[in-house]
Amino acid sequence: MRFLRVTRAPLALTVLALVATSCGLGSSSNNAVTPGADIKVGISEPLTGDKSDIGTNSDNGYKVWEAVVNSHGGINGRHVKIIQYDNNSLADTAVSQYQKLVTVDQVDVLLGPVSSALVIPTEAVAAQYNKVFVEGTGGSPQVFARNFNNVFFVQPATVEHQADPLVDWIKSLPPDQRPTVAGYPTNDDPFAQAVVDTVQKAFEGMGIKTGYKQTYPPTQTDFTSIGSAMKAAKVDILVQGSVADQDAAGAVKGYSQVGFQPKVSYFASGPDSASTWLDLLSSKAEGTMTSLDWLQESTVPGNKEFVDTYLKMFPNKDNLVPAEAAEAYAAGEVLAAAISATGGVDNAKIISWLHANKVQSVEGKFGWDSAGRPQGGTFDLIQWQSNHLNIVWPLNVATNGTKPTIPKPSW
Amino acid sequence: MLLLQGLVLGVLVGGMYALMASGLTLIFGVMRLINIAHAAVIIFASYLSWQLLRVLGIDPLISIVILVVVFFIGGALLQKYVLSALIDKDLSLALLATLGVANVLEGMEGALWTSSFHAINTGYSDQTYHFGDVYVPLIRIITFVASVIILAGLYVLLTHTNLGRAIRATTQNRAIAQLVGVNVNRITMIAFGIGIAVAAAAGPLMGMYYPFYPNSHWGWIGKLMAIVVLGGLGSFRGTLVAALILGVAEQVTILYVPANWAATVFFVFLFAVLIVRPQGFFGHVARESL
Repeated sequence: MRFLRVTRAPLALTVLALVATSCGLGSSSNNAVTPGADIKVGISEPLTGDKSDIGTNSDNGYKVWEAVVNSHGGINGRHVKIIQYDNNSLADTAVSQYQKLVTVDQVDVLLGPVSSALVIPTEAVAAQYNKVFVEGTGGSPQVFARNFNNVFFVQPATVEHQADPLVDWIKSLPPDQRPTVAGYPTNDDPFAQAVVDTVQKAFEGMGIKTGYKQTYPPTQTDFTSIGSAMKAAKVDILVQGSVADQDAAGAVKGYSQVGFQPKVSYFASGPDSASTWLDLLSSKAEGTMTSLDWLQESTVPGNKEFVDTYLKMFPNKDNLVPAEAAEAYAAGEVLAAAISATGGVDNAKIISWLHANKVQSVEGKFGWDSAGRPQGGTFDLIQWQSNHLNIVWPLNVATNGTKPTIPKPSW
Repeated sequence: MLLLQGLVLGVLVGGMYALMASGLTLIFGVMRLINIAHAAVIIFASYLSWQLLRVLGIDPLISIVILVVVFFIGGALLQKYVLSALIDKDLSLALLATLGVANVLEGMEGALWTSSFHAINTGYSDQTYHFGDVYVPLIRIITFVASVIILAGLYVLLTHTNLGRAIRATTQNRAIAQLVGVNVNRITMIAFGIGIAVAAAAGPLMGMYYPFYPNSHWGWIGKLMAIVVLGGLGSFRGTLVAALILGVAEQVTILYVPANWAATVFFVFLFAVLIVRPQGFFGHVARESL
C-alpha cells in the first residue's frame, strides 16, 4: 500500500539537481584559454545568494582593477586575466572552486572572496597550495587565528577596530548625554560578531549596560520581534552586527514598525552601501551610522582613476561607488605591487615581499604582520545626514565640520 | 505585554504565510505535484510589482489585480503545454520542470534587476498604529486583510461554485471525477492557473514586508512546504492553521531566545505532529490499490 504517489526517485533527482546548481561548477564567466603571457588571477565570489549584493560590488571592483591594470600595459608587460566563479554564497562551493582554480585552471595567483565567512574556509586552500591570498573584506579575528603567512587583509585595520571611532565618540560625550543601555542583535557571522563583541566590551567598561544580545541567522529578514524585545529592554543605543543590506535594511524596517527608536543606531555593514541604502529605506536612513575604511572623495594616489573607471564601467544614477568595490580594487593593487616588485608570479617571493613592505592602495598605505593583519591604519565613523553620507568622527577628518547627530531622527 | 506583541505580529505574518502557501497546496491537491517554482513565482511577482510602482507609479495593492490575471494565464499555459505532457510520462519530469522554471525566473531577475536587494516602499509603508504598548504596523494589517480577502475568495470559489466542486472532485479522486463527467484536464489547467495567480497575489504583499533578491526564493520554498505538510497536503484549512502556528512560533520564539532557534522550534513542532499524525492536521491518507 502506498500513501502518496510521490516516489523517492524525483526527490533524489531534485536533490542532485539542486546540488549541481548550487555547486556552480561550469558557471565560470571566463573559461577561455588564456595566452601564456597573461597573469591568471583566480577569484570565487558570491554573485548569487544572501551575500550577492556585497559579492557583486566586490566583483565589480576586481573587474575595474583588471581594466585599469591592463589599460596601463599590465604588470611588467603581462596582462591580467581574471578567472572567476560564482559560489552562491556557500562556503563549501567557494572551497571547491578555489581548489579548481589552482589545480584545473592553474591560475598564477589568487584574490579572496568578499566577507570573513567566505575567506576563513578558502584561505586554507590557498595556504595548502602555497598561494598568496590577498583579500579586501575578511578581517575578523578568525581569519588570522591560524597564522597563515600567505593571507593579506587590505583595509586600514582589522574588524575588531572597525567600531573604535563609535566607542571614542560615545566616550567623548558628557555622562548625562551618553546612552545607558545597548542592544547587540548580531548576524551569525564571524565579521559581525567580532565588531559587536569589541564594542560590547568597551561599552560595558564605560558603564553602558547590555540590554539585549542575540544572534540571528544570515537569512533573517523579519526583525519586528527583535525590535520589540529591545524596546522592552529600553535599549537606547543599537549596535547591529549586520552583514548585508538584507539584514541591515530589514532591521530598520522592522524596528520602525514596532516603535523601537534608539538614540544611536550603528550597523557593522549596510549604511555604507550608498547606492542601495537610500533606495531601500528612503527617509528611514537618516541618522544611521557605520564605519568607513575608504571614501569616494579620497585624494589618495590612484583613487580618482579607480572612481572614474568604476563609474564608466558601472554607471548609476547617484554616481556612487560601493566600499566593497574599493576594497577589492585595493586588494588587486596590493597584489599588482608585489608582482611588479618581485618581477613575476613566484608566490613565495610575493609573500615574503608583502611581509617586508608597506603598499599604497586606495585604502591607504600600510603593511602587515606575520598573520596578515594590517598595521597602522584607522576607520572613520560615518552617518547619514540629510541624504548625504558624512564622516562625523574623528572630528579632524569630519566632512565640512559636521558632528554626529544625537539623538538620531525617528525612523 | 511583550508576549501580546509577539502574538499579534505572529498572527499577522501568519496570514501572509497562508496566502503564500495556499497556491502550493492547491496545486499539490489537484496535480500531486510539488511546485518547486512556487516561491520563485512569488518573488517574480514582487519584482514586477516593484517595477510597476517605480515606472508607472502603480500601487502594489492595485498591481495585485494586474498580476493575478497575467499569472493565471501564464500558469494555465505552462500547465497545458509543458507540465501536463510531462506528468503523463512521469511525475518526476514535471517536478524537475518546475525546478527549471525556478532557475529560469531567478536568472532572468538577476539579468533584469541585478542581484542587489530590492524592497517595495510605498507612502504608507512607514505608518504604524499602537494600542498601548502593542504596535501594529499598517503594512501588516493591510497584508493580513488582503490575504484574508483573497483566501476567503478562494474558499468561496472552491465551495460554492461548480468550478470549485469540480476542482475538489479532481483533488479527491481524479478517476471518479472523470467518470462523472468532469473534464479533469481542463480543471487541472484552471486549478494550476489559480495556484500561480494566488502566488502572484502574494508577491507584492511579501515585497512590502521583506527585502528580496533573485534567489531568495530558496529560503522560502522550504518554509512553505513545511506549512503545507503540517497542514495536510492539499488542505486549505490545514494550510491556514499551520501558517498561523509558524508565524506565532517564529515571532514569540525570537522574543525570548536567539532567532536561530525560531525555525528550529517550528520544525520540532512539525516533526512532533507528523509522528502522531503523519498526514498533517487536516490531510487524508490516500489509499491506493496494490
